[in-house]
Amino acid sequence: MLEFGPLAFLNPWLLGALALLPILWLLLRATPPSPARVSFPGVRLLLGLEDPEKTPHRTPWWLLLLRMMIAGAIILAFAEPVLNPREGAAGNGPVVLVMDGGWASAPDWEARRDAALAELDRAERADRPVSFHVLADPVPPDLRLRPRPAGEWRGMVEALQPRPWAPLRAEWAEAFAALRAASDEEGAREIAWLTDGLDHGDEGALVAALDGLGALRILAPTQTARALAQPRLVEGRLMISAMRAEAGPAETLRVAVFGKAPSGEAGAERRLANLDATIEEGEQVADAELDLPLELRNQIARVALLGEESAGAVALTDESQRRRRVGLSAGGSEAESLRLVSSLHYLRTALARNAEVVEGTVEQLLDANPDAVFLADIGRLTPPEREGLEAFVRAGGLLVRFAGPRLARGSDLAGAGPGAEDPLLPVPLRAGGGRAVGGAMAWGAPQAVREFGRESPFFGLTAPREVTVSRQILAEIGPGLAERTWATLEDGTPLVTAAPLGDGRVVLFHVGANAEWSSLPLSGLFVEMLRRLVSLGSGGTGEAPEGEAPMRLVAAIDGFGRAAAAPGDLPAVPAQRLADAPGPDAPPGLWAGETARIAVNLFPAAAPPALAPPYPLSASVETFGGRTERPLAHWLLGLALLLFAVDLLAALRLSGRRIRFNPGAAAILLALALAWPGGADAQDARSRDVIAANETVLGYVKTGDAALDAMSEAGLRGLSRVLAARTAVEPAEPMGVDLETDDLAFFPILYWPVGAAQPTPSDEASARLNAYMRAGGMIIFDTRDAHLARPGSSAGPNGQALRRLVAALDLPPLTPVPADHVLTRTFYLLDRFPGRWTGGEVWVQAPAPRPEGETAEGEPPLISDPNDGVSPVVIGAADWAAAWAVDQNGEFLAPVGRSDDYRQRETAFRFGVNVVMYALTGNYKSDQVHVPALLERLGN
Amino acid sequence: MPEPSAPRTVERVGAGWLRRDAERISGTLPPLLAEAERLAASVASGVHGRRRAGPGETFWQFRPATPGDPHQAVDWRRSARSDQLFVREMEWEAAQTVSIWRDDALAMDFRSDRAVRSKGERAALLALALGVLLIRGGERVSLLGTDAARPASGETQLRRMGAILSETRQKRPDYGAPPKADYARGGQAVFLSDFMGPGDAIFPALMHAAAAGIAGACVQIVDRAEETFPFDGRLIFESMGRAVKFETDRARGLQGAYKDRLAARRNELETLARRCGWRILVHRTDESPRKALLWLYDMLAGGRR
Repeated sequence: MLEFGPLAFLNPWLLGALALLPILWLLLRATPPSPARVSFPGVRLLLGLEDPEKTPHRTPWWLLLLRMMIAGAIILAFAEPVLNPREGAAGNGPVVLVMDGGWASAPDWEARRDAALAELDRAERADRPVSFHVLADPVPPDLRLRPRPAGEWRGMVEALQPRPWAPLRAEWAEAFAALRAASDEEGAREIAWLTDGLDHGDEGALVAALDGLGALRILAPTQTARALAQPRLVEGRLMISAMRAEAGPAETLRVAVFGKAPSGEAGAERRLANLDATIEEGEQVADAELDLPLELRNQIARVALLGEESAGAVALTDESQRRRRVGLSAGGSEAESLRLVSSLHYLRTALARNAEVVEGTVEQLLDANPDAVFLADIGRLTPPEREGLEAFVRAGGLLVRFAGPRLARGSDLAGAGPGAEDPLLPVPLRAGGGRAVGGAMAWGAPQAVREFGRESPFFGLTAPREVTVSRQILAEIGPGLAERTWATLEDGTPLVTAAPLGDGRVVLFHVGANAEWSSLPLSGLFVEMLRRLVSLGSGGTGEAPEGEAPMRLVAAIDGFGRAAAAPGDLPAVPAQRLADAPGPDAPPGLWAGETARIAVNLFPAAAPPALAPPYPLSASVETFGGRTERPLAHWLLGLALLLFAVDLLAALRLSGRRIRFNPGAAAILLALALAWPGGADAQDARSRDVIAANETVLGYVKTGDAALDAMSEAGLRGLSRVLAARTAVEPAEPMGVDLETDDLAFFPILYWPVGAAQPTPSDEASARLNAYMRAGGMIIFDTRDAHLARPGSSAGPNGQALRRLVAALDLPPLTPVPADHVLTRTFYLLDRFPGRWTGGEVWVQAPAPRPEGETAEGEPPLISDPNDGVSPVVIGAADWAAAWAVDQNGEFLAPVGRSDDYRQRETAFRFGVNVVMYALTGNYKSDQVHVPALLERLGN
Repeated sequence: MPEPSAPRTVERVGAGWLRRDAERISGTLPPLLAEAERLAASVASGVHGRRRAGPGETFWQFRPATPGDPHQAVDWRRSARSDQLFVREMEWEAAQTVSIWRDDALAMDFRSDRAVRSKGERAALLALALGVLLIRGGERVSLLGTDAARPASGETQLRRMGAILSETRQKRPDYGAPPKADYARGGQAVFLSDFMGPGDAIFPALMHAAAAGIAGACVQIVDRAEETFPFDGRLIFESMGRAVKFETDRARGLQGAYKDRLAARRNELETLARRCGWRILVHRTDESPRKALLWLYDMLAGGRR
């Protein structure tokens, strides 16, 4: 190997051929390009003429130079130049390859794996055995370096996935240190450690252990992983924190919030919001508030840093950030009062949007384990009720009471002396009922609500002037009254008072919960106030699981932060284990016990990860990623080919042949057109658009994979022929669509085969796709991997690619095609949708939720969206295009199913016909179900 | 470039292989003859007199008898009406001999990219059309340098000419020159060639014809490319038989010199023609053949009108 700085040649002896270049120069100089021969009778008249311009019959110097460059490039290419070759090995003993393999390795996992493979290559070249260890895995009981040939590790390295926890550095440090003591092998070992650059609680012990083991080489990333702390409630606001280990320049991280899809399908997610968190220069943590309506906030299942695929950049949420459950109870009988004057009606209505409402007696409520209890006008509580409520509040619950006639004359007030405060009332109340203002027999005018003070939780809400209070219950004037008052009327009398009790709080509205005493329950202010009260009830997480209670992992995440199946062999762990950092025995995820579900995240608090301590001087530190070995031979050969094409052109030019459409020039033009794709496309874009606008054209998305695109085109061609033969739809030849450049508006259907190699659409392309779907277009995603999907899992290997491709798309909630979906009867009656493969669900937009109170078996909901009830996406995995594909002669291109089943192909075609009909006719067929009823009505 | 031996004429004229083969089998008129007849029909029809006194059957004029006239020549009926003796003369209607030379050298096969016909095809068409005209007019026609070199008239000669003109001779030279044939004295000769060959072969042959006392016409048939010289770049020019070669680095630079040479060659031809009382026409293959035929017909028939 011959090296020049970052460049090395693997076959340096071939460079000797460069010495032949001068000889080539002489040879080329002597032989000019041959002139063209022309038959011409007038040649006799030319005899004896002199050329007016004498040019030597030599090759022009620039052509000569060009050809020398071609020759030089070819020689250099065969000398196999390599950029950034790995340095010569230190030592000649075994190589110990150590990878961190934890969550922090996930963001640049590909680069790590490539680096590890490059290390294996290097060891293989030097014929050194390798011992390979992943620090995130538990230490085997008797750790020995058992070096094996490098090639044997390759499969393992390629299949390796990052673990969703931190590497177990401390354990491994001990193990390595012990190994060093017990080492009896020959020396000159080389240790290569692919670190993630973070400190995982070992404080350099591992480095020391490795350094003692042999010549240590550390391969560190240029940038450490970013992390996201678990969302937490701070004074009713949901805060998230993006974190990093370095205190570098300012950096903006984008956080995406995912929630459960409303269809309730397991695993179905939709993106609720994006927000940017900017870590200021020199800072490590950026806090951001997640400002979402409570309804959405309660649906949050997962928060993730976009573009940072690791378990540390994902935080799951659990009950502690969930929707509240409130209990309502009122004095008196519900049945005897009318609806609009019911004490609970307004409470029920106002709370229903924000919380789950439970009604019943106080005992029933407490059994339902609520976050807050609302008592409307209950004056008398039985002793068990009092005890229960008091325990509830002291445990962190929120008790909200409303005044009313019963409370005003309640025996609690009468029984309590001035000195003995009722713990279930924030302030002592003045006996003798309330006062009435603004009534027919009263002097004063009804009182409005004064603006809320800064210390009040209602601060920021505006009280409309029309909210007036005509009757209220009054508090005893006391020293604590002012600080316990959250809201007052214009005249200073308290409207809402509150007092802490234990870990919880007792709140009293001095007016009734219905509109008899005040117009407050009629106003939007009431709803807002209740909302804030409910979110205050944060203590209502209720029972933390017992320390020894067994917990089971129900939803796991993998090292990349993606949802993964929970390993089945993981034993249950006691709840107290979950309080510690996740590890192999307790990976992050959702854990469920008897009473609670707990989200275990790598970063439960906003404590940023720490950088690894400085490495010892004896270790050499490299960064991977930028310095991987890069063979250059194919680039040089490509250059030679290009130059050769130029040379051909130049030779043609020199020989005086005009470049018309002779085959040689056409070949060159073709080569150039292939070299610059898109150049020729632009010209026919207009005519394409005209055709697409005038005809029905099925479109497919060009994935960049030539074989895949050809199959898509053949498939749509086959489907077009079937459509033309069987239906009134007569499509033109299908067209490929480049998402970045082409106009999508002309295509009723876009077929999008999902390939792992397809680049993610740019933001503009995604925006246009969204507009396309909103305007009535339909995209058929086909992951083509139904035959590869594991039974029981919803997605095959291409599912990941699909998620990546559609990450920025505004997809509706999805559901598997129901049995009575329009798609099953737009043209043919179908009950399954096979393509080349069978199995795999087909997903369409979930139907809009039915309005309240409508029965399920009633009329289908009126759909008023612009898409006419047509799902903008159909997602499947059956590789339909391959089943439809025909060549120009109408021969099928791909076998279908296991034994090229004729019926399955026919069904696939029928599905294709149905899809096109579905896209073109909308909900026409679903309207058809009304025809018998209409006819019957007409007949009568 | 077309293969020198390919019978292109036949292929081009025929509407298709079927008709062509059918005509070959049935032995009817060669297509060239048919085309030539069509062309000739558009020009003129009918026998034409010589517009001079001579042996014939048609009355031409009475002229006063001069001493030396045999007394049998005196038209006594006319003479009786006056005091003078008159001699009755008849129009000379004896057939004239027209010799046609069609250059069939390889150079005549040249056809540039945009031309429809090669020079040779055009020459054959003109020769045969002229033959049709003349034979229908009762003249005797010969094709110099071929089997039909003996002047004859009648359909047989026409058919023979058609056959000769539409087939391709083997072993043709690069450039042609008129044969030094035995010209019928007082006859006329038509030379159809490009006159691109070596001057020391062409001019003596023409001088020989002139010396035989015949009236003649030369039609120089040229291709458009031969006049405009639309070449550029590094080229090797070859004669059609590859016998003559000329290499140039930049053909466009030779354009002017070539045109001068061409003009000089025409000038030579014209000088010769002027001396012999002949006439010269330059005919380009992208022009209508009728133009050349009219000129020829006019020259042959009306030249002495």
